[in-house]
Amino acid sequence: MIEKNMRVIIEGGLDAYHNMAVDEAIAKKSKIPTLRIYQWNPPAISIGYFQSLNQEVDVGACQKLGIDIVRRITGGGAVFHDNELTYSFVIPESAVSENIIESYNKICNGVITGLVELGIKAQFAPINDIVVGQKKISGNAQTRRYNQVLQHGTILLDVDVDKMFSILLVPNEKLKGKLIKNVKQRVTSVKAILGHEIGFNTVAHAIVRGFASEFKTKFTPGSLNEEELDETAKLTKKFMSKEWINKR
Amino acid sequence: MLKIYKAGKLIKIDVESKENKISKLRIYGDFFLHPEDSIEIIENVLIGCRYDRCAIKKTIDTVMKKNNIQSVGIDSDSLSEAITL
Repeated sequence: MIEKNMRVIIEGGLDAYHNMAVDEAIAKKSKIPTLRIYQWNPPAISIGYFQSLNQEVDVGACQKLGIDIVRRITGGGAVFHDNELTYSFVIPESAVSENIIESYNKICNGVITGLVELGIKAQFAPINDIVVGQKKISGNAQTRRYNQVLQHGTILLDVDVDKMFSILLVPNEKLKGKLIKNVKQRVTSVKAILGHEIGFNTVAHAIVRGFASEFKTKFTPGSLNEEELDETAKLTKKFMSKEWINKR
Repeated sequence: MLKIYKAGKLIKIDVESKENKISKLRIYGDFFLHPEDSIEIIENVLIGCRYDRCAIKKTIDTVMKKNNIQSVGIDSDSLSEAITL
């Protein structure tokens, strides 16, 4: 069953720890499905739940550049959050398919419908990507807890692969040049596809309309309630803690 | 030494064995497991397991079924192969 009304929260940049805390607080406390669209200020690297910080991230380079590092509660890979739009979507588990790939597809369709409205021919690429042609424009990650599905993902507004690899570690330093070249060929952005920049708000509202169409619902603009704000404060401490960031 | 294995997703393994049994194991990567903290259940149950691909795969299958663990981009085949690389 899909609820007829859902909440949308569009906000400017919080830091990495608050962003991850808000997403989890909504999953833990919200009684209505919620789409949240946001950015990261300062820019940040998020690593997947199962990744090792020291294998994936050049911590010293991040400190020098003022880039935050946070561990997500979702699996998947390391993501550099700069010049992009992030969404999170929380919906009861009972409202989507038990099959994880199918539920990725359903939720990604909200993003895809929004991108298509902007003139970007995006498609779902299992397991968890959205591509334009053969190039990735969006990565997505999902967790299921508190009887909810939380899926968050990014849409690249612009991309600087060289900057990204100045803070990410690669398994084989000798092959880094080749890897960067390869990633440049496999990644794209809203700006690269359309040939000009589009603002965060324009893309955000197109994504909201995309989710409304995919889930046959109406979104009401809202904000966090008191319970969610309290939970966010508690969870922010977790995301900032050394125990959490060094968990693996 | 870290073993790196490309399945649907990337699996990175830090494993040690003593007398042909797993004595230390950490599994890293960009895969998905639901629920996420079940990674620790899998790592713990494999300590003491015979350092043999079939034995490891069987142990993973059993623990995943018992705990209703769902995986995406990783399975008992790829994980047991990565551990015994």
